[in-house]
Amino acid sequence: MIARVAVFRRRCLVLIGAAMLAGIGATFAATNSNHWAFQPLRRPAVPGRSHSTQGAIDAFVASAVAKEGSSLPAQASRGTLIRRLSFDLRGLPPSPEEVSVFLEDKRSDAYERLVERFLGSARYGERWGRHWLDIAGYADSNGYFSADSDRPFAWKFRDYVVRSISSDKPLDQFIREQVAGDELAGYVAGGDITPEMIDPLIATHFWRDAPDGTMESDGNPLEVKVDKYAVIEGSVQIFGSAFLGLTLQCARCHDHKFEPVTQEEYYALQAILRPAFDPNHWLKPSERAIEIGTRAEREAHQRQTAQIERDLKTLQESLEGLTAPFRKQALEENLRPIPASLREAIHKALDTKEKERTDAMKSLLKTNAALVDLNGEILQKKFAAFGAAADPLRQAIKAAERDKPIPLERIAALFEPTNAPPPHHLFLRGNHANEGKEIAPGIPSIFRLAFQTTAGLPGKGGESARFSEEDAQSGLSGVSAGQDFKPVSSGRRLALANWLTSPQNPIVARVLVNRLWHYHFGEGLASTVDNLGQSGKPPVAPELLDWLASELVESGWSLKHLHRLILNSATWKHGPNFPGTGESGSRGVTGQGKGRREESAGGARPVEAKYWALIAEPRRLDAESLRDSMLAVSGELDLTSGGPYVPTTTDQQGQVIIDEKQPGGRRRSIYLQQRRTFPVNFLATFDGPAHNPVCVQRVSSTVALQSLSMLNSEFARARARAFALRVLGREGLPDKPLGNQSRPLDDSSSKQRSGLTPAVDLEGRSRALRFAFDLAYTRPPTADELSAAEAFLRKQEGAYSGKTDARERSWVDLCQMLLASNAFLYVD
Amino acid sequence: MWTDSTYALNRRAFLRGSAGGLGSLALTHLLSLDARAADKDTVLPSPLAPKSPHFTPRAKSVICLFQHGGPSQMDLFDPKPELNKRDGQDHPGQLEIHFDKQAGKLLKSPFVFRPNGQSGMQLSELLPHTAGIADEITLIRSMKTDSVDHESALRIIHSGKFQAGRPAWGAWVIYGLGAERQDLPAYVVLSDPGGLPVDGIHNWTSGWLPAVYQGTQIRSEGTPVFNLEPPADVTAPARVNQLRLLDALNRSHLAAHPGNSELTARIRNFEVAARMQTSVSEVLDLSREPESIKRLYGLDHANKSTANYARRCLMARRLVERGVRFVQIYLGGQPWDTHDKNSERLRGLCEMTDQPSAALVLDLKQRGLLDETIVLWTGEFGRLPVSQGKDGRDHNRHGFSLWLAGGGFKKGYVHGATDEFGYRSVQDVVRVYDLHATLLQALGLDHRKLTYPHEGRDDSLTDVAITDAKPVPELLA
Repeated sequence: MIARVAVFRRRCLVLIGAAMLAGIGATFAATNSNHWAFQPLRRPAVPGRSHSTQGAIDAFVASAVAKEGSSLPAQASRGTLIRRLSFDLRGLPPSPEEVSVFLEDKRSDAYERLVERFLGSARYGERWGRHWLDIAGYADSNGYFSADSDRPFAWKFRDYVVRSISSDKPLDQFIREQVAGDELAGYVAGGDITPEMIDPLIATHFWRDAPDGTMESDGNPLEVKVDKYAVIEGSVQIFGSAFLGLTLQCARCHDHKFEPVTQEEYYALQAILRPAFDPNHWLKPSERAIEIGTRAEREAHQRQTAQIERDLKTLQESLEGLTAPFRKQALEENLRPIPASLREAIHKALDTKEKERTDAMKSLLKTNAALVDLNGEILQKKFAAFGAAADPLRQAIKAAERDKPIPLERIAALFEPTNAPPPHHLFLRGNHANEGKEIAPGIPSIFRLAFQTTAGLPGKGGESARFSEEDAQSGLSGVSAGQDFKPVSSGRRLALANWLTSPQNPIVARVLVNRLWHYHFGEGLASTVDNLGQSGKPPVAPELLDWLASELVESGWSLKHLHRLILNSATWKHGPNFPGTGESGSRGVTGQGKGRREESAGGARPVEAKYWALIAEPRRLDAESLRDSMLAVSGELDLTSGGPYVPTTTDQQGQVIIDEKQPGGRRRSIYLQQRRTFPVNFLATFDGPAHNPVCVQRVSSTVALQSLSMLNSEFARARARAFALRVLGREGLPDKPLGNQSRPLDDSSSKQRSGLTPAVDLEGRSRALRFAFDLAYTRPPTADELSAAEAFLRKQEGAYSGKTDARERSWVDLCQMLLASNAFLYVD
Repeated sequence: MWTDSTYALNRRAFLRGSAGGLGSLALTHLLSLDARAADKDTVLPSPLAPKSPHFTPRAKSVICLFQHGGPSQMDLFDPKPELNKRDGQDHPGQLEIHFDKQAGKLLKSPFVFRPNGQSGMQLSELLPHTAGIADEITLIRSMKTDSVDHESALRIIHSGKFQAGRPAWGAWVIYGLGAERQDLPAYVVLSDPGGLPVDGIHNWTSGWLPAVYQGTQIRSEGTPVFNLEPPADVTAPARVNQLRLLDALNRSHLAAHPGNSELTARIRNFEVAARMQTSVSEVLDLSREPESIKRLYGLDHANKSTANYARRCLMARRLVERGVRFVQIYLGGQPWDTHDKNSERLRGLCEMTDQPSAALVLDLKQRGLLDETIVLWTGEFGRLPVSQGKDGRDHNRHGFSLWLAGGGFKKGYVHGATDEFGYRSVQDVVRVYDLHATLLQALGLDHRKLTYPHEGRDDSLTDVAITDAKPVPELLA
């Protein structure tokens, strides 16, 4: 029954929403643009002779490089490939075992199997889920103000994203759930939440990712208003860059100067969100948390809890009633021997209510605590009768407390708290105090371009005609009053979601595949991944981009299908001699190496790259991959998945760190608390994103503070210590590290180990060195590296001569430098 | 050649060595930088390498004394006889009130204004020390901004627009000019040991500029920079061996990736980091400053917060003296936000900031550094001429005052004026955007050309297409 109502409801919503969105076009002058990204998506022909789908990418690339006078590259070595693949898909280095298995796998499809294995790994979901969290502007805090209060349920969205990516949930469904999961599931404010509704509801937290300061607003009316609208504005900004590949903020104050988006169209997008973010019925972040369960279940839970609480109260009152005469008697006996004046003073103090007692009374009672503090235990010793009478009551209280139902699980979701969608107005010049005309919900008319070939918007044609006429009449007010069911949600976001994921929508698939390319190669086919608009950079390979976008839609929106196409291409497997990669790795801030240096002010700006320079190698690890990989190499990484975040803390210096003594202190970075204003210092130093409101494109910088962090931070030293212990195990010592890994190696803790191998075993040393390089670099040391490392160990033991743990210290220092080195931070 | 016995030097003594003394010489030698450093610095590009400005600069560095909360112009800088005369009457015109329903009648300033110096600049009795530098400063009485909300107004004055997430102007300056020294942060923030200012680290963010340009917080008490000190269990000679090993590993890696500038920049940064330990400790060591200087700033002041503010002003001088480009000093919270007890609180705030601020200008001058250093004293907006509640003043974006010294700004000059009550700037109005354009100009930067590609367009501090910002030539000598 519930399911049928939900389906009915959903249909109503689609139709109502679609009608509304369709209406908007008429209010704007027809917009036209020849800009590539707005054109209908057509699958380009693959160049050359007929190709398999798998060969298409290489065919496009071969034809493009041919024009530049080169050909497809030689393939990278297997060792390079497994390292590159592991970081790309899992954000972690391959283990030495994985490497040796792969290198020895002589099957012709060994590499394809490895791709499948990594795609099936839970680590893949964490790595690629993290990419989506960047796009969504995910944080565990509300941001906006310095208070930066907690978002206790945000992690459920993080886990939803990781789960969805891991299971290759079709991206169209993934998007629909995030944009309109509540309407999709048929949720209405205060209504049932059945198990199958939980995931789509959690998905709507996408709209809760923007900073929201409304719990901290200071009460001044204009400021409160501004703070509420800032949430809508942040959400539209995230939405625009995530799905439309457009930067929309400019249009908040005036018609967009660079894109075909008018100010009215910007506010039409806001109007889609208005019913869920209604400033007149505002829900603060804490008020968006809802309990899971059907209404009946929740009421039953509430009744049960209330009943038990009533019972408990009665029991406690009975116990108190029973105790009082015994206590009185004991008190009298206790006070009998003391002087009358003191006795009277004590009685007076005890008869005064606790809050009203004077300091003198309090101190008097404190001094005589032995006489007046009479708990059950004391009374029981004194009066056998008391024990016999009180025991059953105490048992009953314990039982009732046991029976108290555990609190219902809560989630934070987006939904529309009111019934009739409120009117929405634009703000003249963006000034929140200056309301302009009313604006109906809609999408910028430029996006209607691709839909002109067919009639109307999605959701219209295929649905039952029975609703359409009625729908057209009812418009914004919902289903006619005569019906017993009236949808509470306006259906605006569901119509938006369906529009976004319609096969005719050209922009969403283009935005997605461009980002996908960006994450695999370090640069998008169009390098401005959040802006495919007229002001963005044009794609270097428009046919390839469109072919990938078509393939995404035709494959049923499978992300893993596209991963396979890319990762199995010769293009991705390129070796070091790929055209354009000679002068590489110089994107980002030090980007002056690509043949062009600007000497004047602002010379550090990124430089325009040619097609093949887009494939940057070596690629630098991002902040999370760096931290996770250091923990992996040291053998300490805790691979527990999901759940509440691991909280950050501030050390004595004022640095934001993770206390490693707490459970989960060495988990992957995606599971660490992500506060907008107080990011983990190590991650922030290595350019971890601050979502304010969203990290549109990560940059990487190279600064001395990073070097200080690798040389001197406790995080780096602790990894080096554990890494060294792990490596020393290969030198002939026990495999399991001894003692507490995070404790500095001091004289007393390492005596025992030094005693085990007094003489330097040269074979053991080179075995250990080889293992260290295998762990850190996924390859054995070169002859130069080996001799440098051996010389270092000799010298370092000299530097520590006199210390009984000189050898261990030397290894720790060596391991720290491996982790600090470029060969660890950069992946070929 | 460095010998082991040399290491026996007490490490603290080693660190205390002056910039040209044993400490840095020794370390330079240790790191084999003596021969290679010079040509490396010219060969390897760095995002922080010094860059030529667009035109001849007047100033090389900036010290911004930021006064969070909105200092009251009519009590400090902008005398209003008409306001005092009509104390207690209704304000005749319309006022933009921030706190609804709390606006009262015109509220006179209880403080006496006097002419100072040759210029005769009128300043409040609350600022006796600033009065002493009247002939050094440009006082703007006609400032205007676009928000009466603290956070939005802070973003406007720090980053050019009210939206969050834009780069702070210090980041723009470093992006434009680079750093003079690689072993000190180019953009330093000296925040109050009592706590961060309102809007916290957003005040010195690099926004969507690369993170290399963000402000580095240096604490005036305790460890100045995170992770500056080597781990306790690594001795100095062991550290040198470590750095040599790292260099060998990195050079072997570089051989397989020839011409990669990012890799070489990272190699060099480890050497810079090792040098920072000495240079940062040295620059922050105030113990060698003469007593007269300490007294000038007020390090000996009985009021602890005055003494600490003085300490940070003196640190700021030492930082710019050694080539740091941009220093921002902040107070905790937003102390100038005098919604109640306006007069009483102003007394305390002036006691804290007046003497050290003025001492900084005098000290820079006597060292010949003032000509190339801009000192800016400002808040994010001003206050209303009417009372809020019994004895407070509410926010005002239509008129406020600030002062500038050095760096080519005029001396003993008053610019612009507000209306008769001090509410609205009416003559020679300077918008915050124009101030930004002027400051960049003084540093030799054309605000229209200092752009960075963001979301597909060339954005800038002043985003002139939107703000129509223009430098104010009258402010510069």
